[in-house]
Amino acid sequence: MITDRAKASFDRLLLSSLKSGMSFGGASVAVEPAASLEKIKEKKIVVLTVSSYLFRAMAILYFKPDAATRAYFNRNAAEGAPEVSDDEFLDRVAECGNVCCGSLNRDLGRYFPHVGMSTPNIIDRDCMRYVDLLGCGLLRHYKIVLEGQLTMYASLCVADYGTIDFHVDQTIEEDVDTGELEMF
Amino acid sequence: MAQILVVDDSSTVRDEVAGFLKRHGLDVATAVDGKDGLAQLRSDPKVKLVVSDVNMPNMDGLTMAEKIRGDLNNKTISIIMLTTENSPIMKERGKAAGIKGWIVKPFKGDAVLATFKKLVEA
Repeated sequence: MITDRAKASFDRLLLSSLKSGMSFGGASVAVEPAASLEKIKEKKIVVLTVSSYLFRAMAILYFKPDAATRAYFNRNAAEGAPEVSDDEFLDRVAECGNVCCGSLNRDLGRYFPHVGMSTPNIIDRDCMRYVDLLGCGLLRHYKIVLEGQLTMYASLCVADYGTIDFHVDQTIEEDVDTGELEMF
Repeated sequence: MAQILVVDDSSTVRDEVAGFLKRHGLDVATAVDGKDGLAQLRSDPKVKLVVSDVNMPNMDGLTMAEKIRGDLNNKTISIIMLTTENSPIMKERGKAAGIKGWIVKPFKGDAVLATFKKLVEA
Protein backbone atom coordinates (compact mmCIF):
# COMPACT_ATOMS: atom_id res chain seq x y z
CA MET A 1 0.00 0.00 0.00
CA ILE A 2 1.26 3.46 -0.90
CA THR A 3 -0.15 6.26 1.24
CA ASP A 4 -1.50 9.39 -0.42
CA ARG A 5 1.36 11.51 0.85
CA ALA A 6 3.87 8.96 -0.40
CA LYS A 7 2.22 9.07 -3.84
CA ALA A 8 2.48 12.86 -3.82
CA SER A 9 6.10 12.55 -2.73
CA PHE A 10 7.00 10.16 -5.56
CA ASP A 11 5.29 12.64 -7.87
CA ARG A 12 7.34 15.59 -6.61
CA LEU A 13 10.59 13.68 -6.81
CA LEU A 14 9.99 12.60 -10.39
CA LEU A 15 8.97 16.11 -11.44
CA SER A 16 12.14 17.49 -9.89
CA SER A 17 14.34 14.87 -11.55
CA LEU A 18 12.77 15.49 -14.97
CA LYS A 19 13.22 19.24 -14.68
CA SER A 20 16.87 18.93 -13.76
CA GLY A 21 17.81 15.99 -15.98
CA MET A 22 16.00 16.97 -19.18
CA SER A 23 17.48 20.44 -19.53
CA PHE A 24 20.17 20.34 -22.19
CA GLY A 25 22.23 23.47 -22.73
CA GLY A 26 20.06 25.49 -20.35
CA ALA A 27 16.79 24.65 -22.17
CA SER A 28 13.51 25.33 -20.40
CA VAL A 29 11.63 22.27 -19.15
CA ALA A 30 7.92 22.33 -18.29
CA VAL A 31 6.28 19.23 -16.84
CA GLU A 32 2.56 18.70 -16.31
CA PRO A 33 0.36 15.66 -15.63
CA ALA A 34 -0.83 13.67 -18.66
CA ALA A 35 -4.12 11.91 -18.18
CA SER A 36 -3.77 8.73 -20.14
CA LEU A 37 -1.29 6.37 -21.67
CA GLU A 38 -3.38 6.01 -24.83
CA LYS A 39 -2.56 9.55 -25.94
CA ILE A 40 1.16 8.87 -25.85
CA LYS A 41 2.09 7.76 -29.37
CA GLU A 42 5.88 7.69 -29.14
CA LYS A 43 7.29 4.41 -30.39
CA LYS A 44 10.26 3.91 -28.09
CA ILE A 45 10.81 4.10 -24.35
CA VAL A 46 13.78 4.20 -22.00
CA VAL A 47 13.12 2.27 -18.80
CA LEU A 48 15.08 2.49 -15.57
CA THR A 49 14.22 1.09 -12.16
CA VAL A 50 14.95 2.10 -8.59
CA SER A 51 14.37 -0.88 -6.35
CA SER A 52 14.23 -1.74 -2.68
CA TYR A 53 12.68 -4.56 -0.67
CA LEU A 54 9.61 -2.31 -0.26
CA PHE A 55 9.03 -1.22 -3.83
CA ARG A 56 10.16 -1.15 -7.41
CA ALA A 57 9.84 2.24 -9.09
CA MET A 58 10.06 2.33 -12.88
CA ALA A 59 10.81 5.64 -14.56
CA ILE A 60 9.84 5.59 -18.22
CA LEU A 61 10.75 8.17 -20.84
CA TYR A 62 8.90 8.08 -24.19
CA PHE A 63 10.55 9.50 -27.28
CA LYS A 64 10.37 9.73 -31.07
CA PRO A 65 13.54 9.42 -33.13
CA ASP A 66 12.50 12.40 -35.25
CA ALA A 67 14.60 15.38 -36.36
CA ALA A 68 13.41 17.71 -33.58
CA THR A 69 14.18 15.21 -30.84
CA ARG A 70 17.57 14.38 -32.34
CA ALA A 71 18.39 18.09 -32.56
CA TYR A 72 17.45 18.59 -28.92
CA PHE A 73 19.69 15.77 -27.72
CA ASN A 74 22.50 17.18 -29.84
CA ARG A 75 22.29 20.68 -28.34
CA ASN A 76 25.52 20.33 -26.40
CA ALA A 77 27.55 19.27 -29.44
CA ALA A 78 30.23 21.60 -30.71
CA GLU A 79 29.38 23.75 -33.73
CA GLY A 80 30.07 21.86 -36.94
CA ALA A 81 30.03 18.48 -35.19
CA PRO A 82 28.84 15.64 -37.43
CA GLU A 83 25.25 14.45 -37.15
CA VAL A 84 24.88 11.71 -34.57
CA SER A 85 24.26 8.14 -35.69
CA ASP A 86 21.14 6.22 -34.65
CA ASP A 87 23.10 4.37 -31.98
CA GLU A 88 24.60 7.58 -30.63
CA PHE A 89 21.16 9.19 -30.50
CA LEU A 90 19.69 6.23 -28.58
CA ASP A 91 22.63 6.33 -26.18
CA ARG A 92 22.09 10.04 -25.55
CA VAL A 93 18.42 9.48 -24.72
CA ALA A 94 19.36 6.54 -22.50
CA GLU A 95 21.96 8.64 -20.67
CA CYS A 96 19.41 11.41 -20.21
CA GLY A 97 17.09 8.81 -18.61
CA ASN A 98 20.04 7.68 -16.49
CA VAL A 99 20.67 11.20 -15.20
CA CYS A 100 16.95 11.77 -14.46
CA CYS A 101 16.56 8.43 -12.70
CA GLY A 102 19.87 8.97 -10.90
CA SER A 103 18.44 12.11 -9.36
CA LEU A 104 15.28 10.20 -8.35
CA ASN A 105 17.47 7.44 -6.90
CA ARG A 106 19.51 9.89 -4.82
CA ASP A 107 16.38 11.60 -3.51
CA LEU A 108 14.67 8.30 -2.65
CA GLY A 109 17.90 7.23 -0.95
CA ARG A 110 17.31 9.89 1.71
CA TYR A 111 14.20 8.02 2.81
CA PHE A 112 15.12 4.45 1.79
CA PRO A 113 18.88 3.98 2.23
CA HIS A 114 18.86 0.53 0.66
CA VAL A 115 17.73 1.51 -2.86
CA GLY A 116 19.60 0.40 -5.97
CA MET A 117 19.27 1.57 -9.57
CA SER A 118 19.38 -0.25 -12.91
CA THR A 119 21.15 0.70 -16.10
CA PRO A 120 18.88 2.12 -18.86
CA ASN A 121 17.03 -0.16 -21.28
CA ILE A 122 15.46 0.97 -24.56
CA ILE A 123 12.44 -1.07 -25.58
CA ASP A 124 9.31 -0.71 -27.73
CA ARG A 125 6.53 1.46 -26.35
CA ASP A 126 4.11 -1.43 -26.95
CA CYS A 127 5.53 -3.09 -23.84
CA MET A 128 3.60 -0.52 -21.79
CA ARG A 129 0.41 -2.45 -22.67
CA TYR A 130 1.50 -4.95 -20.03
CA VAL A 131 2.38 -2.48 -17.29
CA ASP A 132 -0.73 -3.41 -15.28
CA LEU A 133 0.68 -6.91 -14.81
CA LEU A 134 3.30 -5.40 -12.49
CA GLY A 135 0.64 -4.66 -9.87
CA CYS A 136 1.44 -0.98 -9.63
CA GLY A 137 0.18 0.89 -6.59
CA LEU A 138 1.03 4.09 -8.39
CA LEU A 139 0.99 4.82 -12.13
CA ARG A 140 1.26 8.39 -13.35
CA HIS A 141 2.03 9.98 -16.69
CA TYR A 142 3.63 13.31 -17.47
CA LYS A 143 3.91 15.61 -20.47
CA ILE A 144 7.29 17.29 -20.83
CA VAL A 145 7.66 20.39 -22.99
CA LEU A 146 11.23 21.33 -23.85
CA GLU A 147 12.03 24.89 -24.93
CA GLY A 148 8.28 25.47 -25.34
CA GLN A 149 8.27 23.34 -28.51
CA LEU A 150 9.40 19.74 -28.25
CA THR A 151 7.03 17.39 -26.42
CA MET A 152 8.07 14.17 -24.75
CA TYR A 153 6.34 12.05 -22.15
CA ALA A 154 7.25 10.15 -19.01
CA SER A 155 5.58 7.67 -16.69
CA LEU A 156 6.24 6.64 -13.12
CA CYS A 157 5.13 3.19 -12.09
CA VAL A 158 5.63 2.00 -8.51
CA ALA A 159 4.99 -1.62 -7.57
CA ASP A 160 4.70 -1.85 -3.78
CA TYR A 161 5.64 -4.84 -1.62
CA GLY A 162 4.65 -3.33 1.74
CA THR A 163 3.36 -0.12 3.26
CA ILE A 164 5.18 2.88 1.84
CA ASP A 165 4.78 6.13 3.68
CA PHE A 166 7.12 9.09 3.40
CA HIS A 167 6.78 12.81 2.91
CA VAL A 168 8.69 15.16 0.64
CA ASP A 169 8.18 18.89 1.01
CA GLN A 170 7.17 20.98 -1.97
CA THR A 171 10.65 22.44 -2.09
CA ILE A 172 13.26 19.89 -3.03
CA GLU A 173 16.86 20.91 -2.82
CA GLU A 174 19.46 18.37 -3.79
CA ASP A 175 22.18 18.14 -1.18
CA VAL A 176 24.80 17.26 -3.77
CA ASP A 177 26.91 19.45 -6.04
CA THR A 178 26.75 17.62 -9.35
CA GLY A 179 29.96 17.65 -11.34
CA GLU A 180 32.13 18.55 -8.33
CA LEU A 181 34.93 16.20 -7.30
CA GLU A 182 34.70 14.96 -3.73
CA MET A 183 38.17 13.77 -2.72
CA PHE A 184 38.58 10.97 -0.17
CA MET B 1 49.98 4.47 -23.88
CA ALA B 2 47.20 6.39 -22.21
CA GLN B 3 47.42 8.48 -19.05
CA ILE B 4 43.72 8.21 -18.27
CA LEU B 5 41.21 5.40 -18.79
CA VAL B 6 37.53 6.42 -18.96
CA VAL B 7 35.16 3.53 -18.21
CA ASP B 8 31.45 3.94 -18.93
CA ASP B 9 28.81 1.85 -20.71
CA SER B 10 27.39 5.03 -22.27
CA SER B 11 29.14 6.15 -25.44
CA THR B 12 27.75 9.62 -24.78
CA VAL B 13 29.65 9.87 -21.50
CA ARG B 14 32.77 8.23 -22.89
CA ASP B 15 32.84 10.67 -25.81
CA GLU B 16 32.10 13.67 -23.63
CA VAL B 17 34.70 12.95 -20.94
CA ALA B 18 37.43 11.58 -23.22
CA GLY B 19 36.84 14.35 -25.77
CA PHE B 20 37.15 17.06 -23.11
CA LEU B 21 40.34 15.60 -21.64
CA LYS B 22 41.93 15.09 -25.08
CA ARG B 23 41.19 18.70 -26.01
CA HIS B 24 43.16 19.65 -22.91
CA GLY B 25 46.21 17.68 -23.92
CA LEU B 26 45.73 14.43 -22.04
CA ASP B 27 46.12 10.95 -23.52
CA VAL B 28 42.89 9.06 -22.96
CA ALA B 29 41.65 5.54 -23.63
CA THR B 30 38.10 4.28 -23.09
CA ALA B 31 36.46 1.06 -21.95
CA VAL B 32 32.81 0.01 -22.11
CA ASP B 33 32.49 -1.69 -18.70
CA GLY B 34 34.53 -2.87 -15.73
CA LYS B 35 35.58 -6.08 -17.42
CA ASP B 36 36.88 -4.20 -20.46
CA GLY B 37 38.55 -1.68 -18.14
CA LEU B 38 40.46 -4.41 -16.31
CA ALA B 39 41.56 -5.98 -19.60
CA GLN B 40 42.87 -2.64 -20.84
CA LEU B 41 44.74 -1.98 -17.60
CA ARG B 42 46.41 -5.38 -17.90
CA SER B 43 47.71 -4.45 -21.35
CA ASP B 44 48.55 -0.83 -20.49
CA PRO B 45 49.94 -0.63 -16.95
CA LYS B 46 51.12 2.97 -17.49
CA VAL B 47 47.64 4.39 -16.95
CA LYS B 48 47.76 6.81 -13.99
CA LEU B 49 44.08 7.61 -13.54
CA VAL B 50 40.85 5.66 -14.01
CA VAL B 51 37.56 7.60 -14.25
CA SER B 52 34.74 5.11 -14.00
CA ASP B 53 30.98 4.83 -13.83
CA VAL B 54 29.50 2.62 -11.09
CA ASN B 55 26.41 0.99 -12.62
CA MET B 56 27.49 -0.94 -15.72
CA PRO B 57 26.69 -4.33 -17.24
CA ASN B 58 29.15 -7.25 -17.00
CA MET B 59 31.18 -5.67 -14.20
CA ASP B 60 30.34 -2.57 -12.16
CA GLY B 61 32.87 0.14 -11.37
CA LEU B 62 33.30 -0.67 -7.68
CA THR B 63 34.03 -4.32 -8.40
CA MET B 64 36.54 -3.20 -11.03
CA ALA B 65 38.23 -0.93 -8.46
CA GLU B 66 38.48 -3.83 -6.00
CA LYS B 67 40.01 -6.03 -8.69
CA ILE B 68 42.51 -3.33 -9.69
CA ARG B 69 43.82 -3.35 -6.12
CA GLY B 70 43.42 -7.12 -5.69
CA ASP B 71 43.79 -9.13 -8.91
CA LEU B 72 46.07 -6.61 -10.65
CA ASN B 73 47.84 -5.73 -7.39
CA ASN B 74 48.00 -2.10 -8.56
CA LYS B 75 48.09 0.06 -5.44
CA THR B 76 49.21 3.31 -7.08
CA ILE B 77 46.74 4.07 -9.85
CA SER B 78 44.21 6.79 -8.92
CA ILE B 79 40.55 5.81 -9.29
CA ILE B 80 37.70 8.31 -9.42
CA MET B 81 34.05 7.32 -9.77
CA LEU B 82 31.80 9.36 -12.11
CA THR B 83 28.25 8.26 -11.45
CA THR B 84 24.66 9.29 -10.73
CA GLU B 85 24.96 7.43 -7.41
CA ASN B 86 25.63 9.27 -4.16
CA SER B 87 24.94 6.51 -1.65
CA PRO B 88 27.09 6.58 1.53
CA ILE B 89 27.16 2.76 1.45
CA MET B 90 28.67 2.77 -2.05
CA LYS B 91 31.14 5.48 -1.12
CA GLU B 92 32.30 3.48 1.88
CA ARG B 93 32.81 0.46 -0.36
CA GLY B 94 34.75 2.65 -2.75
CA LYS B 95 36.93 4.04 0.04
CA ALA B 96 37.66 0.50 1.21
CA ALA B 97 38.81 -0.27 -2.35
CA GLY B 98 41.12 2.75 -2.26
CA ILE B 99 39.30 5.00 -4.67
CA LYS B 100 40.46 8.60 -4.54
CA GLY B 101 37.32 10.57 -5.31
CA TRP B 102 33.67 10.69 -6.33
CA ILE B 103 31.84 12.85 -8.90
CA VAL B 104 28.05 12.90 -9.26
CA LYS B 105 27.04 13.16 -12.92
CA PRO B 106 26.71 15.17 -15.07
CA PHE B 107 30.42 15.67 -15.86
CA LYS B 108 31.67 19.25 -15.64
CA GLY B 109 35.16 19.19 -17.05
CA ASP B 110 36.28 22.62 -15.88
CA ALA B 111 35.55 21.66 -12.28
CA VAL B 112 37.94 18.68 -12.31
CA LEU B 113 40.57 19.31 -14.97
CA ALA B 114 43.26 20.75 -12.68
CA THR B 115 42.94 17.83 -10.24
CA PHE B 116 43.02 15.26 -13.04
CA LYS B 117 46.21 16.83 -14.41
CA LYS B 118 47.84 16.72 -10.97
CA LEU B 119 46.91 13.06 -10.58
CA VAL B 120 48.44 12.03 -13.91
CA GLU B 121 51.58 14.11 -13.32
CA ALA B 122 52.15 12.77 -9.80
